[in-house]
Amino acid sequence: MTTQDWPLVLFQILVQAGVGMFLVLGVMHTISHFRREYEEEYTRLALVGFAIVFALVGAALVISWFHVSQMLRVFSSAPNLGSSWMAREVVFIVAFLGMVAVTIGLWLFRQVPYNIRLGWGILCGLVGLMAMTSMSMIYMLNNRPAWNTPSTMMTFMTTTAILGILTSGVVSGAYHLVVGRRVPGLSAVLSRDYSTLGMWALVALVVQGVNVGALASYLSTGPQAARDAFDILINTHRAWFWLRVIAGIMAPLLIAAAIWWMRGKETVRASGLVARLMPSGPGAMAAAVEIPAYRWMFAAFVLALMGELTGRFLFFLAVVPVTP
Amino acid sequence: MAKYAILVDLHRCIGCHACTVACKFLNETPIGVDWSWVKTIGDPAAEIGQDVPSGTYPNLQMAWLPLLCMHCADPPCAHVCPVGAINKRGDGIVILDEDKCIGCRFCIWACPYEAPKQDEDKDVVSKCHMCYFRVDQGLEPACVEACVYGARIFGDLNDPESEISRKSAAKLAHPLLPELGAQPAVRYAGARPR
Repeated sequence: MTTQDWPLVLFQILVQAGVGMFLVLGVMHTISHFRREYEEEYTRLALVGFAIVFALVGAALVISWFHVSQMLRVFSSAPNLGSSWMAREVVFIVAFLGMVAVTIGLWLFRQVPYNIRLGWGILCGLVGLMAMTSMSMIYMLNNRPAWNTPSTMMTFMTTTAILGILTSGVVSGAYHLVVGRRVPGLSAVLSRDYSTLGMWALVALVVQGVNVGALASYLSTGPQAARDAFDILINTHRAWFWLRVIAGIMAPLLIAAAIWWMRGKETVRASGLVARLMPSGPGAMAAAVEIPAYRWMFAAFVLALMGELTGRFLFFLAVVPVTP
Repeated sequence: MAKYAILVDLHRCIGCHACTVACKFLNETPIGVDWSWVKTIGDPAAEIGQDVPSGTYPNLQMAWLPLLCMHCADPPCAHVCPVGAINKRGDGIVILDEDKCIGCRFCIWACPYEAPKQDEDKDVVSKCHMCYFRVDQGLEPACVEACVYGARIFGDLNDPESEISRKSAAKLAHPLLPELGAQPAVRYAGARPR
């Protein structure tokens, strides 16, 4: 892995976080619509979230330019959709970015019927998933056994899910810190959302952990290039590997489980400072108050993000090609 | 339509690297970029580029494996290129257009034969093009012409009377890494040194 590959790593992680967050926020809003619960607040939350998605994916595209040396020529990708997964990735990501911008526009103008907004959102989400599919298919190369497995597609999709869920949790938590305490009952709804997000994150992290284990198992018994890759992972770079597994998967997994078990709530004893943040208003000195588990969600997000960055670093570092 | 290919006779290669020098001289490739190169098969602990035999005296072994772009019938490099910079001509020669290359290096990752090379000077990827401008004039590629011991034969595989066709059949020539499905046009006669 060279310094030229780091922009590629950042590009992938940012796009995956963006696509994942778009899908998760879309689902959260759809649920609120059909439950007819705080739909106005969820709409504002989704708008804020979609704007962040646009910024993430836009930043990712700018960063990706630093991975190539002839930036302006990238625009000639479109004619090669029939043969190159990388060309498809570029086109789908650019299309997704444009469709997110349209999504924001549709939601700002509430006169657009909900069904149209929902339909467009689903289409946009599908384009995002196609981008993720294209991104993972690039690496299905015959001469690189460590990449040429179903684990690669699973890794990319699970990373999208993990980062999407936890980023949505952080964004919705930040939004509710500003807005939620002024809207009676909204924080309780957020706690319920956090419980759901905790469960989804738990499932996604379990899947990622199983995926990493399955990949290691395959590499240890595969062809020579695969066994060499396994040696790099487990021996040469064992510190990074175990950091990825323990701090990047197991720790956020436990936190996500705790969030779910706590039903998304965290019980704290109010002090003067905490009381000012309570939904019950400034100055109130309750003996114990339940608040949404903001800190836990943020901790899980930071650990998972670090884990996914480490995992992607190892993905590029540990691959060994078949050579003559 | 011709189907150009190169036959490399491993029994004749003496590791002189004349092919490497001729290619570099003609195509003016920079230091570190070798479109045609020779891998020494000897002591695995030796540094790359050093000719160190394996085994213990007097049972020493050393061999050479000339490598270049295989001009595959199904080139993986062409499939992955996002801007269509790599294309296969009707006569089988695979050419990388440096003016289209964006330097993403996916062709380097995709090629099993390490043929595409990153050119730091031009900030693009480049590779062997079988000296197509010489071939179009009826000449042989520079590496073939430079080989002092006749270890390389160039010709048309679609002509059964051509020297390459006859010798490929007689010497049971085989491609490298056929299991990867790229169908290389470059063939090797003699056992692959290990």
